[in-house]
Amino acid sequence: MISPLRLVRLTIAVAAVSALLTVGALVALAAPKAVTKAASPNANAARAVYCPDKKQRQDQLSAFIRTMVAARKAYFKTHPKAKDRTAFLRQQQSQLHALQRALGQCS
Amino acid sequence: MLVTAALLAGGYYESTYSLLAAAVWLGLAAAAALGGGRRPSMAFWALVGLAGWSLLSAAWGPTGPALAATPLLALYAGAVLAAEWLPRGPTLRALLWAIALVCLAALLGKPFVSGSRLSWPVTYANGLGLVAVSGVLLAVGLRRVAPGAVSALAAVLTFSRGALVAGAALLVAPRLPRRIGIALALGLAVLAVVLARPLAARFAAPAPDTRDAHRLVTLSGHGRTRLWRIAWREGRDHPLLGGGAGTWPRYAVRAEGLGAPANAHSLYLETFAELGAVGLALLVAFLAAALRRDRLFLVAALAIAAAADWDWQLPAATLPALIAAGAAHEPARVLRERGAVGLALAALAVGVACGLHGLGAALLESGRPSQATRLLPGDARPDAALGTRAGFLRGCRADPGEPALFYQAPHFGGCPASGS
Repeated sequence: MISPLRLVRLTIAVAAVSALLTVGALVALAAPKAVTKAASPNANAARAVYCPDKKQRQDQLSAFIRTMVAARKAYFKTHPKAKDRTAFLRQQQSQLHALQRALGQCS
Repeated sequence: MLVTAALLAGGYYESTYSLLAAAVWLGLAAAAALGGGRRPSMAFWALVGLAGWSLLSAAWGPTGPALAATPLLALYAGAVLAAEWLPRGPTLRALLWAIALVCLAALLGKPFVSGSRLSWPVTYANGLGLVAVSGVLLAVGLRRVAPGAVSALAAVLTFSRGALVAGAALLVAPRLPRRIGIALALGLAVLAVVLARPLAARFAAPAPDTRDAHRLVTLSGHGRTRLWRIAWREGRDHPLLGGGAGTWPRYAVRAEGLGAPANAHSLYLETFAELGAVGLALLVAFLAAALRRDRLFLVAALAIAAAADWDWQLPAATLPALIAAGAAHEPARVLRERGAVGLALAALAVGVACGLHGLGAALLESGRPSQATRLLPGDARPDAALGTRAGFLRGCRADPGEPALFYQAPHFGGCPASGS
């Protein structure tokens, strides 16, 4: 005959093992990328600390490059003077280099 | 556990340390329930107090960062307790071989990883440096040559100044005759006082962080003093309670912009900034209790290295010291039946909570923020990751200080003023 306290202890042990297996299965099924990402050569704790916003920097650079031509065309449409256009292009290039430099700091 | 943490980027990511904490606490729950539990040490209770204080800081600080920071402390408390319950000799030998394995992997993987400093698999050279130095100290204490040699070679190739200085000091100082040791300590103290100003100036001076042996002869702190000042200012603003667990990065973002690093590079100053004098006292109580029994000096190495680095945030770098601290605890009385049941229930609750948090963090890191929202209450990161205006506004309501929202502010017009 098992005593009630012993039964409670066995239940806790079974619950602990079941919880561990359930969490493991849920992570494996729903979020396996988190583990594979951390184990991949691209994972980098130092980068996460010194460049916590790498993704945002990357997104900003991609968005800027994507809209560069459209922005230039729009500006040229309303600014016929060569001086204005040159200044615009120079500013666009310096902004591009600044964004590239910011991303480069993450490598 | 150490090898797993090391191979998963040192265990730095939130999902990794939360899930490791879940595994440790659920294992402890099963062990306590089956009668393997013993009375925990003071060091364990100090860490539990620190974890509890970190969680409690959600009452005066932001909830999300406090919930994100606490599983790391839960992992550390669980590791200390597990080491206290395991047999001392086999635990320390297994720890030594685990460290040697990590160091061997680092040496063999060197040709395939970019960068001249050894850092993989921990992915932070100073963190790997502390792991390797822990291996050397352990090997000397246990008189094992082969793992000690592997660890020593790895330690040198990390070019980690803090870890190497701490390791060398802890290898030499305890073996000096008492009189010579005292004389040397006094001489160094006088020298430190005399040279304090020029040394501090050199430490604060900016210098390029060279990635080779040259860095061993430089004194520059590579911007650490700047980060320490931010931590000091935050601590000064809330001296008793601190700004709340996990709040240093947002202070740094306010001071330095979005490119600010995520750690203050000083365990003590960051703890003071985030958890105030109470949190710092709990941390010091833990270190004092652990240092008292630590004859292998692994805790001392961690205490020295973490003063000027973020090794505490890297479970792979911190776990050797914690396991050694737990193993040093003399076997205590076996818990009584009711005490064992109480501890097992508490461990089960902590394990399940850490597991759910770890699942939420894993979903967020996997790019599934909508599913992570429910598992990470009070956290604005899943809402910010949705990239929608509704998500942005929900994030603003949950935690308007979350740096991830700052990037979206120009698109969505900024967080509305509270109360509106």
